[in-house]
Amino acid sequence: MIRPTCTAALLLGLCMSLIHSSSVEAAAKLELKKGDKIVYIGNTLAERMQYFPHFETRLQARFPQLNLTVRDLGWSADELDLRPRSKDFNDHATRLDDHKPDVIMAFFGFNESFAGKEGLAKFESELEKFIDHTKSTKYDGKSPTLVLVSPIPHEDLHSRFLPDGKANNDNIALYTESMKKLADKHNVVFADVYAPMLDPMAGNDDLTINGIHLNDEGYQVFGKVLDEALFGPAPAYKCDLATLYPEVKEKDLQFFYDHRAVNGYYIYGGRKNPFGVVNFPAEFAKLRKMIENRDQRIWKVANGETVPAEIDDSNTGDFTQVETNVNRPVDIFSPEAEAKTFKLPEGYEINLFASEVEFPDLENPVQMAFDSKGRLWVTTMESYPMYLPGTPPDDKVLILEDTDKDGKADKQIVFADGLHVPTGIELGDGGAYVAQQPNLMFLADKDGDDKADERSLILHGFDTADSHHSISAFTWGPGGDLYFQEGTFHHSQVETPYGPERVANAGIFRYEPSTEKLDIFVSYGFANPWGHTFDDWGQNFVADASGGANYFGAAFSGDVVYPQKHGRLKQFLTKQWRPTAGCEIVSSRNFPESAQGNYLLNNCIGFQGILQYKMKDEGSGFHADPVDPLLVSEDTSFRPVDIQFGPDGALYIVDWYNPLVGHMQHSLRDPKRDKHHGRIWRIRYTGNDLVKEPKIADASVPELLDLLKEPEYRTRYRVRRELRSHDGKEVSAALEGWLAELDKNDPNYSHHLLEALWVKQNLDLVDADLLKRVLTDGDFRARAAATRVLCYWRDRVPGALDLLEVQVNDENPRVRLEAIRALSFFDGSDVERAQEIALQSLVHDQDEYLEYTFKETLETLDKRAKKD
Amino acid sequence: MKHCTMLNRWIFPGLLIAATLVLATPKAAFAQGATDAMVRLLQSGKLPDSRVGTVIGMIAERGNEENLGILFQEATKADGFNPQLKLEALSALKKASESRNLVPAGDLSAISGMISSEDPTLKTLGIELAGLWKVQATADTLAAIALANDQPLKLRRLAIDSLIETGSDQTAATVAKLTDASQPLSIRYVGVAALTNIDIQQAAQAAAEVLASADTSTDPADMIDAFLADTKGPDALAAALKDKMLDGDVAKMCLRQMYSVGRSDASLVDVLSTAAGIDNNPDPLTDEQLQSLVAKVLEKGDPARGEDIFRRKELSCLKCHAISGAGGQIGPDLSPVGATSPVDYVINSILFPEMAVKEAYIMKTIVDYDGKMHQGVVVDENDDRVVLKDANGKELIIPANDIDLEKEGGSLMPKGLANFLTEEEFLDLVRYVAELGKPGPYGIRSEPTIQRWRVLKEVPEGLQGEANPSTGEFESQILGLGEDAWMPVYGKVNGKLPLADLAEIESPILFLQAEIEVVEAGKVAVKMSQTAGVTVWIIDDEFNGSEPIVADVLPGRHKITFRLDKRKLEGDTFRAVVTKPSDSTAQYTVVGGS
Repeated sequence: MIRPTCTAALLLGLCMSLIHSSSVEAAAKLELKKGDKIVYIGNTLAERMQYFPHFETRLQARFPQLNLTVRDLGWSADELDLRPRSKDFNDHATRLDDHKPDVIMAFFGFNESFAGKEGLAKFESELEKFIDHTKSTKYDGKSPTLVLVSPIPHEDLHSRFLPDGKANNDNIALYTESMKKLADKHNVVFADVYAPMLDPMAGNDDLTINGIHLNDEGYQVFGKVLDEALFGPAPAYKCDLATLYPEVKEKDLQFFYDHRAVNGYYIYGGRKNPFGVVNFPAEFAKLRKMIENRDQRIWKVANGETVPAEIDDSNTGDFTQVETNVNRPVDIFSPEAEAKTFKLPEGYEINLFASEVEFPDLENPVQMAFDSKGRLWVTTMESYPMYLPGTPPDDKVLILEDTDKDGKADKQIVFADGLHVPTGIELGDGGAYVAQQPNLMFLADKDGDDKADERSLILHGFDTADSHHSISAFTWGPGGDLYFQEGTFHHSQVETPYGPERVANAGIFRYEPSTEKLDIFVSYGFANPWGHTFDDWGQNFVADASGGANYFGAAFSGDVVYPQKHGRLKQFLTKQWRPTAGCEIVSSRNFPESAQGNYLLNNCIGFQGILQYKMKDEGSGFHADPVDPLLVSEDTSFRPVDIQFGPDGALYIVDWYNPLVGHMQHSLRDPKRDKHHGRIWRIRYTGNDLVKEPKIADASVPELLDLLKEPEYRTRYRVRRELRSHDGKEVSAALEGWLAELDKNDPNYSHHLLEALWVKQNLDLVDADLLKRVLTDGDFRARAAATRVLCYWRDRVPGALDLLEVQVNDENPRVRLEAIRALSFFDGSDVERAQEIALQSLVHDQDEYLEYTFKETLETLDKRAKKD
Repeated sequence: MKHCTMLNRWIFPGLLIAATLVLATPKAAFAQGATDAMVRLLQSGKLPDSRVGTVIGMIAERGNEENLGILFQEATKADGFNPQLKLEALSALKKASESRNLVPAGDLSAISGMISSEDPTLKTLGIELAGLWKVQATADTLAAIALANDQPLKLRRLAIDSLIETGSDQTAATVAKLTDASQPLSIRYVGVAALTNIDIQQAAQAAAEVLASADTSTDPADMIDAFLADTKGPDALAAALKDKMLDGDVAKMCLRQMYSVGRSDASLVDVLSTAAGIDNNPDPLTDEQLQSLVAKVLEKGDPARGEDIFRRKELSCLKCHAISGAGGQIGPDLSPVGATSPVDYVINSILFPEMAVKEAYIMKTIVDYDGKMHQGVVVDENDDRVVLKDANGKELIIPANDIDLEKEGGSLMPKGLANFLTEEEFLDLVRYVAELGKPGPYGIRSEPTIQRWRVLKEVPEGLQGEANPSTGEFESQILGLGEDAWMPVYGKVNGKLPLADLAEIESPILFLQAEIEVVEAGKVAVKMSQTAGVTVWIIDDEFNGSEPIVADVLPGRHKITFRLDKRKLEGDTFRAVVTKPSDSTAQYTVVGGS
């Protein structure tokens, strides 16, 4: 191989600075030889190249005779010195050692650049170490050629919700400069994609989805820029790029199923014995042969040859036959027979809303959501537990509608298919947010025909070592933030325009889609939290599935410094059963008065049904005691996994209906794992009428605002979600009028004010006056909720710490707790003041939660103080 | 703006304290500053009395040596904290030392005063702190307590352990006296356990001597634990026992202790198994063996016999696992396990517990710089320390800077349980576990049956007659008794409590107790499998067993007490259900747990 000479590199650098915005270079920088294997490593810029492989398409078209193999090992938010992976991940032939690359293309510097000028020296030393290490490591007896690729600029999307990128770009330019300097010094190929991307990014078309991650068009531009930066102007190709592109994409997809195989814990990790070792070796041998088949198709198409439309994988071997270890007949009852096993307290009735009998697509349903038209959306997972090589997964999002309002679905629409284990869903913003491990996908319906017409991966980096621990149980918070949870074993890291966010071994994420902020809302040693809900006043409760623990959310959702986690928190109820899946608070005029505010909790093994608890205030937190369960079944295949009140005030239950649920008790390929059943049940109370379904879709803004006075939490939840799709100015103006007309003597006046504040939070309209009004409201629950809003507006409300000082001295313990919690988020020069304010809380009455949150906040602030 | 004035009431004192803090705070080094500020707050006297305890706890948890020194002086000076706060402060200081290896700065001589205190709690704390803080001045006193025959065994053990910690030169002589053949067996075990902290090889020799002459009158559990806690302990003891003749039952007691804390160190298990005459065969099963076992379980296994085996004390199953919510809380409740776990999985889980462990139960093994081994499930972890829950349900605190090695994986469940079983018994046990949770006799019960019972360990002589106790006698001698007076027993899956399990209670009259947690007031009733010779109290409402038993109860946790006259009982089991009359509004649960 011919290595780039000093002169070439120098010359090129000179060219780059002369022809600043042009990507056309005179000299080649990187020379390749036949059969070279090129591996990408680095951050999300590299990771997303597998979904938009425009660069590789150009590369293969440029060198059709070289038979190049390209593998994308890019990983969300990776940094040179920080690349967390789940246990034993490296045993799955994922290391560079396994790939034996001839060329390593390294995409680093973006996440590192958030450390700014102060972090530059550290970055440079890490980069030098990395260069040394890469150049001195031999694979198959020779060292690879290293190519350093700079970060791309942060694009200004001219959105009122998003940063303009100037601050980030100052840093990125600095780090790019540094990379170039060290590349020159160590005679390493360097591709500056920062400078040449500035111009296209300043054009009319958006090239990114959020300022930092390229979209399809962005990768087309980027592919060309990178290709020309490395090899000069493109020659005439032997093939049509548009024909080659899908071949590359298909290869990347199959490689994704290998490299990012979900359930790694059962394939190569701590739980591979005794089952995984039986079936997975053959599965991955087959998959790897399939990938090679696709490499060959790429080479053929690049050479201008045609390939059959159907890919021939007949040479890829067979699967190992898996025997079941279930030595008893597996009971699958009809929905009618299952219904007969249900027992409910007097006055309640249960009916089948939908099942696989009328809707055969309803296979392994997991999570549901109701849209503004009152229709039930549900994800299905027939591909669970994971992709089988050669069988494209076809999990779906279904819309089930009850058009004649008889309490039974009579119409089904497939909103999206071809998905892979969608463990969570929530609707909003003109589409659906769906888990597509390891990513979060947004499925948009641009033309309103109830079909997803645009699929975007909007967040990356949620670990999948155990697919049943991956992001799940999606729910909106009152302020328009989307929450989802993940379980232990996982090491997740996500790039955001504000910097990378990381968590290891379980946590709850909080995502603001409009601003693209992502926080680790709770970093806690959960087993597998699969249940999260809010009450009327914005207090949230978390149900940990495996251990059956239930937690009061405010106490442990203060900020921590990664990798620190919150310490053990007491549970607000005494566990009766485990494992649980999904929780909900009763808020429906259809249900009896005595049940309002009760905490409902699904349990799916042993006790199979819905547990019920009476909630009460206890100091700063809550306590709940068991009352009669709402539902008990004797059908051991009944698996309630999600629960939510519908627009009619009845309670809907997703039943995963499956005799085998143990993830580790049977082979993941056990033939007795059911894939074809699923039910949705509906419980109503016969003593009261159903709730009149609110008109949310197509309602005017004033009509929507009036619905915020409805008693049902889920109505207001869906109304706030709907208001997000309206123009901020219009909503703001309508809110002024609505607020002015509120009756101050209305017993719910405080709550209405709070709803108004939450609507503003949903639309990211910071309103310090309204906030201050609610912060000093007569109802402590409103003050507590406003304190949480203040926490998330802290950088934009002047005097935030002064306001928190008042809240920390509030007469009510829950308000004080919210304030102490909020103080944990302050950083830099505010740390000292935040500590002082937190200490003031000690003069007031204490309880276990207050002491806990105080200690946690102090711990975080101490860490920051020591760091500074 | 009514609420604003109302709030001012609260803001004012807070701001005053803020002013105190700010004025006294040097601008630099605020990291420690938060704790220093708490110390100033404590000393300022401005803190309301009810909050002093909290602040003491926080200072102890976070403070440096100087902060802790101030706390210690405040706790021990004559006009310092009140007795309650004093105890709180000293306990918090103990925890600080255990968690963070910190010794309070300054004069520690007040420890001697604590050790000579009449208050048993203070005395115990004093002994423990003397060791933790290595206060050599207390060595004489500690040695005296360790050798004093009139002191409780537990205290003597603490004293000798602390004496060793101090590093005093009296240690060796004191320990030698304790292990001497002239001492009673219980003391010799204590002495050997202490010796493991000085010289593990010497301790092993001494243990072999003691065990060779031991009978089953005293459980060697604590001494065995001491060897297990040392990384070199099991091998050393095994080597020392090689040439000794042990009583088979003593060897069994040692083995049982190992298994019950989840240990199966090969060398020691081998020696003890040989002595106990147990066949020790830990070879993993081939797939064929496994399948043939599964077939045998399905063909021959009897779940009813299996349940009796599960309930045997020496297997310790119920020590860790609950059934129907009643039993140990260390491992998972097994009630639904058969419904999700196939027979092969159950077999593997009993023979090779480490093969598949639910995430909440994964064991951590920590070895500290002294070579001490700690095993348990992580219950909490931060930068300062790790807290493990061991197989006995005890929480162990290990300071982060003591940790030499740590390893995750495996299970707290003992590996050699099957060694105590015949093949038939093993098949029965597996069958029983595999049936749990399946519809049928071992299915999940939905009736609120009493599963967790308390039985009165010693029935007062005066209450063993034919007559029921008077109201006064009942309240003072039964209802008013503390936890220690009762022993836990658990009903079978079907809710029946075998009275034979209570044979060790030497009294014709038995007192059993259950608890209910009432959330909403209303009527509750009690229904029983037999009524002749039974008297029931719902709280203090007395009912003859043959009459309807119904009472109104208010929210809260309440006791239901049963008096069983064995002379009049007809069946050999007893079962009771707490029911809700049809007109009742009561919401309650029967309390389970350990």
